[in-house]
Amino acid sequence: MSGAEEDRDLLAAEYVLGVLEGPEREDVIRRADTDDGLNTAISAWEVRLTPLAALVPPVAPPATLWQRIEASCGLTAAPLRPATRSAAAVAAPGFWNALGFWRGMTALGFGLAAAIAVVAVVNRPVPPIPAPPAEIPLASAVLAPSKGGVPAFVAEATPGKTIVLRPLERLAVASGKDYELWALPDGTTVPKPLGVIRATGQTVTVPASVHAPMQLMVSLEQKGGSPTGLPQGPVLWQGHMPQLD
Amino acid sequence: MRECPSLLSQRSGSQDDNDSELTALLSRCASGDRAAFRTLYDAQAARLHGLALRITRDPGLAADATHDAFVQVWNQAVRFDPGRGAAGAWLTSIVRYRALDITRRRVREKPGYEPPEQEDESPDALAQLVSSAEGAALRLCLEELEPDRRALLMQAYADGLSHSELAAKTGTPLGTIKSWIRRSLASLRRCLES
Repeated sequence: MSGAEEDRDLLAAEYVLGVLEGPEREDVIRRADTDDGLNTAISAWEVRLTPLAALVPPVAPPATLWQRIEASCGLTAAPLRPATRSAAAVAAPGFWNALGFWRGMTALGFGLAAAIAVVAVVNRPVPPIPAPPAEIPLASAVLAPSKGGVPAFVAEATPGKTIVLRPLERLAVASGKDYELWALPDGTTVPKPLGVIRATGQTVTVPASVHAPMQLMVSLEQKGGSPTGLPQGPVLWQGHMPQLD
Repeated sequence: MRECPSLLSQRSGSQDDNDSELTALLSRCASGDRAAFRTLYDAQAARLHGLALRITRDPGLAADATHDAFVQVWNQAVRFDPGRGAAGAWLTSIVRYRALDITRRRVREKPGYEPPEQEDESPDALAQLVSSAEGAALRLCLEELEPDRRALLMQAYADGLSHSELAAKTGTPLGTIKSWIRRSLASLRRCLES
């Protein structure tokens, strides 16, 4: 390990141990968003130190806690009706109250506060925007979390070299963040940016250099999209667009 | 991304039976299986709440931390990557970081706030670590440290004490505490990797 790697590894260790506070701790959380090496070091230290948790005796939580968790996750029987409420009001109140914590919390390779916000509002009735393309699609892809789960968008390729993206669920993107669409044509290794997309879906023009079959991905980026031209944030959904007919 | 072979072996070695069950439950949660989420809660809530209570030292704050952690687990189960760390470590980390966030914020917002004192670990606390292979290895390596350095690490982890809280509690200069902990962590890693 070089000196810099050693420093980074010990910083990860101090973070996991919990001794960092204030700006030092926040700095690690921020850096872990973009520094894969730091992220890997944190995960490794989490595994190394977790046996210490056995030192602390279990304590049963309050009996009402489960109901509270269910409500915050939107798992209770009587969902609110989104048709008559704003997107913010759709989610359970506890969820939005908790946003303050998500803003400051550890992303650590599992995605950001906004990623949680996004996933938390799926399973709600769908706003039908935009309408399906007037042209018959040449090919389509369903974009879902890579490890399985609820699909978020359908992408349909039109003869006019565009892709129409339609959300399958009501989605929201946290303030200060944007979704960005990427194409990774089969046999290539570097994703091509197709631009920032609205959570309500939109029509995207595909550059001439990008051809199906390809993987389409939506990542969570800073406002305005990734400044580097490569995905910086987590890929939330992806799907394969087959060769066009 | 650079992958260090020793880290990979560390991770794969931590997948015991309990972890496989947790991993399976998390993957069912990721596909929206509510029954799996409830099973996970029943299996882990007391363990995680105990950790939260120990760090926050306040039943209300601990319930908040446990609540937030489970909400995060449900919403992020799709993002859990077994290749990156074991399921038990993932759950433990989520609740610990949340409890630390809540506690540190409380201290910041109420400068006079003094969490109640914790009792020190009993001398045979280390014996509790041997329930798993990883715990046994960690115990051996902790035993190689000076007793006071070892106690610092255990207090930091279990009680969620920061550098400055450890300095105040032990009456040791902050710089000394920082360097002791850094050196202890470096020895620990060397020992665990050997």
